[in-house]
Amino acid sequence: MDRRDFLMSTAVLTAGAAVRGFASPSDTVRIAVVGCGGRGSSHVNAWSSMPNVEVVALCDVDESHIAAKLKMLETKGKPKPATYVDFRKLLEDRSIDAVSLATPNHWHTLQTIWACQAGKDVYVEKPCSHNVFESQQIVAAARKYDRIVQQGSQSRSSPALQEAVKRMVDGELGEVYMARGLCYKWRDTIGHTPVSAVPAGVDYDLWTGPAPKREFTKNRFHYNWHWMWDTGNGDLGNQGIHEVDIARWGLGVTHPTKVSAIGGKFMFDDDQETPNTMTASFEFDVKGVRKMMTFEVRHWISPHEAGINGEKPGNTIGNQFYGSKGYLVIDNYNKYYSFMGKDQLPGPGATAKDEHWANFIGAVRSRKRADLTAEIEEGALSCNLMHLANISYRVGRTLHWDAKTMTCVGDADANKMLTRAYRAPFVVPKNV
Amino acid sequence: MSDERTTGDGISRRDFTTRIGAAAAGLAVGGDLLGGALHAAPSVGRGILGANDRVVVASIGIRGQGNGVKRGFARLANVEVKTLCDIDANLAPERVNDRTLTEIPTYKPGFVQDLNRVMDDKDIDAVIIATPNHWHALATIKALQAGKHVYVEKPSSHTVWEGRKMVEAAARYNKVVQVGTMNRSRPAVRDAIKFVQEGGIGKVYMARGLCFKRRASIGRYPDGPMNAGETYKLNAESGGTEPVYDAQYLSKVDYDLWLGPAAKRPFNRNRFHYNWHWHWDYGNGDSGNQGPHQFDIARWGLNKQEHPRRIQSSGGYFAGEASQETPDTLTSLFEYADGTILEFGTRGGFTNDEGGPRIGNLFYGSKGWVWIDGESGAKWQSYFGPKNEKGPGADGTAEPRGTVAPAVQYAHYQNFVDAVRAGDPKLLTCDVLEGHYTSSLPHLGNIAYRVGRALTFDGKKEAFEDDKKADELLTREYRKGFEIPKSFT
Repeated sequence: MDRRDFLMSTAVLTAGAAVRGFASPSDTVRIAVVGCGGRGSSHVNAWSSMPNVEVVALCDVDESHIAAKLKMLETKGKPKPATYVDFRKLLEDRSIDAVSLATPNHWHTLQTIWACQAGKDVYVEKPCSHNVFESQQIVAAARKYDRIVQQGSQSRSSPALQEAVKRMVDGELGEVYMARGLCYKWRDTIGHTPVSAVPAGVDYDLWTGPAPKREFTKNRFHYNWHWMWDTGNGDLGNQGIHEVDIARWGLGVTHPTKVSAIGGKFMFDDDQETPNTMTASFEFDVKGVRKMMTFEVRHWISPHEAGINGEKPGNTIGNQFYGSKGYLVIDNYNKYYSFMGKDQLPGPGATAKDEHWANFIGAVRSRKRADLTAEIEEGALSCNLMHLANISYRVGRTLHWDAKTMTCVGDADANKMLTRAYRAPFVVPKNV
Repeated sequence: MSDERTTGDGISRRDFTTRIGAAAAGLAVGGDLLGGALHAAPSVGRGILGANDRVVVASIGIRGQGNGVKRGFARLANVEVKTLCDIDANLAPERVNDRTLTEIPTYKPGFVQDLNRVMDDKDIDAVIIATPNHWHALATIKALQAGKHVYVEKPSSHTVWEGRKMVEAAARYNKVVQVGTMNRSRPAVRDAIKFVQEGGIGKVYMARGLCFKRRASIGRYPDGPMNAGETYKLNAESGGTEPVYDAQYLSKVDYDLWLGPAAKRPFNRNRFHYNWHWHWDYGNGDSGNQGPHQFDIARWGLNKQEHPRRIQSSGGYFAGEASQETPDTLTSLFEYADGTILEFGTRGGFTNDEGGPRIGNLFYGSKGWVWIDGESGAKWQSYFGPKNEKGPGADGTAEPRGTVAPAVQYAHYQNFVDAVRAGDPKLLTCDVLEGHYTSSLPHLGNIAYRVGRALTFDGKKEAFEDDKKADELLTREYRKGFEIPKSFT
C-alpha cells in the first residue's frame, strides 16, 4: 500500500466516525503495543495487568520481540493478540481503540500522527518527538483529530510529585527561581560494530522509517540507536527527558528565551555520536521574571547530589528546585523532600508511586484531555527544551529562542536542525 | 611624609624604625647598605635580599581580608609590617594597635592613607594589596614601578586586560608577584592536586568548582553620608551592624582615592566596604570573590596553562530588591581547546551540596572522582568505581592544630617571602601569570553572562572572536589620573 492509499483509507476511517464512545468503566479498552523491545515489555505488562484493558495487537519490526511478548501474555493467561510487522496495517483494524508506542524516538511522532488520523488514542513513550518540528506536528494532529494523547513521562502521575509541584505553586518555597535536572547514569562504551547482515526476522527498512537508510550495524539497532542522531537524542533525550519534564513542570515555564549547552564524548572511542557528558542551561521569562534551569548529563563516575539515591552508589536521577525560602529535591520518579530556611531544616516530603497507565485509560474513557497528567502538549514543550539543548551543543552557540516564530534568532545552522530530511514515504506531514 | 605620622602609641615612625633596627641586630640595615650597590636598574627599591634579611612590607587595604593577611605576615619570622595603608583612616587606631599582635615585638606599624606614600618609602621591600578588586592591578603596577615585590589578593585583576598588564609589568620590573590563592601552598590541597594530575582518578575530563555561599539581599540606599542614628547592615541576614558612615566618619575617608580607576560617583554605603563586591565598577560578583580560589584549584588540577576556548554562562540575581548588579546565581561553563570541561557554580541562595563541600572542587576521571574542601584547605577525598569505594584522601587531622609555627600556618605568605628573599619568582606557588589565568576565568564567565551568549575566546590574542561588545568588557574605562600603562618601557 503506498502512502496515498494509506491516507485515503484513514480519511475514510475518520469520516466514518470510527471513534467508539466509552460509556462506562466496564467497557474494555482495546489497545495495541507497538515496539515490543525492552520498554515495550513494560507496556505489555502494564496494560495486560489492568482490569478492562485488553492488549489486542502487538507490532514490531523484529519477529523475536513479538514472540517474547506473546509468551508473556500467554503466561498471564491473556487472549492471544493479533500481530503486525507494519504499523500501517495495524491501523486498519477499526476495533483498536488506542496504540501504545514504545518504538525508537525517530518513529514516535509519525506513528502518533498516523494513529490520530486513524482515529486512535495514543500513549507515546518519551520523548514524543525527535525534533522541534515534530513537537509542533504531534500536538497539531492530536488537536485536529481530537485524540487523547499522553506522553510516557510517568512522574506526572505521581501523587507525591503532584504534591511537590502544588507546594511550589502555592509559594511554600517562596519564589522558585531555578531548577536543576540530573541524569548521572552509567553508560559504558558501546564499542565499534561492523556492518553486518540484517538479522533474520527483522524488517530493517521499516525500522529505519523516516531516517536515512544506512547499512545495518548492531550499534545502530536495538537500544544503542539512542546514541545516534538519526534515531535517538542522546541520554538527555532518553533518561534525561523525564527530569527535563519535571524541571519544566515544577518551574512553571513553557518556552525558553535562551539555551546553551556544552559537553563532549569523553573517555571512549566508539560508534556513539551523542555526547556522554553535557551541561545545558535554559533561561525563561515568566511575565518579566527570569527563571533558570540547569541540566547535567554525566555518563560515568559522579557523586550523588542532594541526597538523591541515599548512600547507594550508582546512578543519580532527580531534580532540585531552588526557592527564596528553601529547596526541594525530587529523588527519581516518585519521591520528594525539602529543606527550609537558613538552617536547612527538613520540610515537607512524600513518596507515592505513579498511576500513569491508569491515568491514560481514564482519559480514554472520559474523552477529556484535561484528565491527562502528561497531555501531549506538555510533553512536546519539554521535548523542545531537550532538542534545543542538543542543537546548542552541536552548533556550539547559545540559542536565542523565539517562541512566536518557533525559530532560533539569527541562527540558520540551528534552525536547520529543528527538523530533518524525511525518507519517503515516512514523512511527518507539514499539514497533519 | 607618612613616616612622621604617629602610631597609636605615640612614638613617631622614624624613632621606631631606629629602635627596631637596633633590636634586629643590624640585619635590615645590612640589606639597605648592600641593596643600593648591587641592584641593577630600573628597580628603585631596596636591593636583593639575603636569606636572613628582614623583609619589610606594607599592607594596603586593611579592613577585612587585609586585616587578616597583615596579621599573618606580622607573625612570620623576620618580616616587619612597617606601614598600614587605607583610604579609611577610621580603621587606623585599631589596626595599628592590633590586640592579637601584642606579642609580636616588630609589629609597630605606621599608618598612611595614600598608597602613593607607600610607594615612596624606600624601606619597603614588598606590598600586600588587599584593596577592592578594581585597585589590584593599578596598585600592583605602581608597586612594581617603585621597585617593590607584591602579594596581591585574588582575583589578581578586575579585568582580563589589566591582568595581562600585571604580567608584563612583573616581567619588566623583574619582581616577585604572588597572587593570594593560598590553596596553592596548602599541603593537603597540594597532595590532592598531585594525586589528580598524576592520574590518580584516571583521565580527568571535567572539573567543577562550587561557590555555594549564602548571600542575602544587600538592599538599596540613597547616595550620601548616613544620618545620625541610622544603622546599616551589610545584608538582610547580617548579625551585626556596620559603623555609621556619617559626615564625621567620611571626613576621614578618601572616597575619591577609593574610587580610583572607577568613574566618579557620590559616596554610597552599599558601594563601599565589602558590598563593593556586588557592583561591576569595583567587584566581580561572588564568582570573582570567593570563586577565584575554586577556579584556581579547578584549573590547577586540570593542568591548564591557557585560557579556555569557549565560555557560556547562565544566571541572574534572585535575592530581592537591592543595588546589587552582579548575579547571585551563576552557572559558567568553560571548554578548553582539547575539549576538557570546567564547570563553575555560584549560588547565593539555599542549596544542596554535591556530595562534597559547598565551597570546593570536584574532579571527574575515568577511574573515580575527587572532592577538595576549599574552606579548610585541609580535606579531600577520592572515590573509585561503580561502588564508589573510598581511595586516598585527607580528613584534616594531619593538619597542625593549636599553636603552630607561622611558616606552616601561613604557608602562602611564607612562600612569597621566601621568593622575595631569593629574588626568584619561580619559587612562587602562584605567580602573576597563574593568577592571571585563574582570574580571567570569572572575568570571562561574567562577560558571557553580561552579553548573554556563548563566547569563543582567542587565548593568544586575549580577545573574543567576532564579538566587539564582549571585547569591550575585557577592559574598562580608567578615570583620569588612574590609568594603567599600555606598555612598560
